[in-house]
Amino acid sequence: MKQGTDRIQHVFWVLLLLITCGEMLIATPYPQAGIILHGFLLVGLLTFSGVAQRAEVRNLALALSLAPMIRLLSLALPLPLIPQMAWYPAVSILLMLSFWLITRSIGITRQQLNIRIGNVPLQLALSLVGLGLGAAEYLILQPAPQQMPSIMHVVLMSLSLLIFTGLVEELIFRGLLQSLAPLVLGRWGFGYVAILFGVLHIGYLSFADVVFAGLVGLMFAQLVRWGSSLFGVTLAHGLTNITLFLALPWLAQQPFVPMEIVILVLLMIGGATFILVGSFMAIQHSFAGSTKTTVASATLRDLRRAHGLSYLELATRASVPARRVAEFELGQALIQNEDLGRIARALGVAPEQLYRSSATS
Amino acid sequence: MITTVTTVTTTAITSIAAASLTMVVILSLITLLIQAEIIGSLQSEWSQRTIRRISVVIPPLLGVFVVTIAVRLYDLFV
Repeated sequence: MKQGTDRIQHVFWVLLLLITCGEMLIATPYPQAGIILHGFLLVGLLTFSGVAQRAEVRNLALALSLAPMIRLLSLALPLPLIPQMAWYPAVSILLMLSFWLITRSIGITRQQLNIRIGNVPLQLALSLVGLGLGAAEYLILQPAPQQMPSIMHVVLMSLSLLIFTGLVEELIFRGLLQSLAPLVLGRWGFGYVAILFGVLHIGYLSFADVVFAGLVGLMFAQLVRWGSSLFGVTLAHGLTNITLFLALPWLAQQPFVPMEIVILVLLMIGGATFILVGSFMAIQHSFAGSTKTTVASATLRDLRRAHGLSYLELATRASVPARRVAEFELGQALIQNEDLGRIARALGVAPEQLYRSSATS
Repeated sequence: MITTVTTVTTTAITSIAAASLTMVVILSLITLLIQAEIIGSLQSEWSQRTIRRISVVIPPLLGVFVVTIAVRLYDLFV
């Protein structure tokens, strides 16, 4: 069984390597080779998601098909023939359709995807991290200013960046993929999604930006884990892009604007917010539920299998994140009494049954 | 941090390669449709599951096809 799990994990790492190759080929003067590879990957992933034995593997393969879909949709649409303002919505609406169809096919709930507001003041404060991230990425990419003839254009473009880049990408990466990857890849699940997020930035032709995006992906993943909400990171992601592509390039064109000072201030705001809010969320997360215990991993696994349930199905029944169920089973996390009670109810056993066995399992 | 429209996207789509990129996507769509038809003739559980999974990406790819045709026609006649 362990060998089979290892083999499946290797398959997913190879798939990530192939996606990386596809992205690198697209960055060459012959992008057709890359797009053909993405086309093969899409067909292969969909076939794999149909024939794989374990439900978790099938679901992750289907969710991973969003990576080649991102590139196929963004390169195939006739973007030069439509206004630049509509580029992000045009790609993202079709991507959202894919996302919605995939989540429906998998049967994953909004709660599993962390689609909730969470602690509003904390999540709103978290968005300020985007100012620092935008400034840091501006130093890497130095993008050219956008054509913004009126204030209305600025507002619409800002909303477009917030909704069609921030929201859509967070739903895909920190919502769907981050919920499913740890069920197959264990501890490496978050890292896998962060690397994928970084790899899909190869198109900016900057190695530093790929590393930066990967690290931000890892940071956002942890913030979502602590806060159990996509709200803050979605705002932070949107604000990063607004700062990076609209605000700073525009400011750089204005005379008498000390860009070094502006960037330094934004970096300090973002950094301080991350340290303060991140620390608070981490502390809150570790102290949530005053009593925690080690769950009987083997008992939990046996009971889940006896009921013929996948991680996702048990998690949906128990109203806890699927990733948490996997962590409890693998003995990677302490379980809160509240979660233990829900899981026990979903399995039709007394919570004590999971406690008692813990000493012996 | 935008994965969809990158520097390479804007470069590639404004070059001569744009039409061939759309063609690859349409070929992928046709491949998936043919695959679904072939697998559909089988009655096993995995074949039905595979068809369900394939049908998930057909509407967005079809969307690309429809948008491409509509924009090209608009460009041609208006």
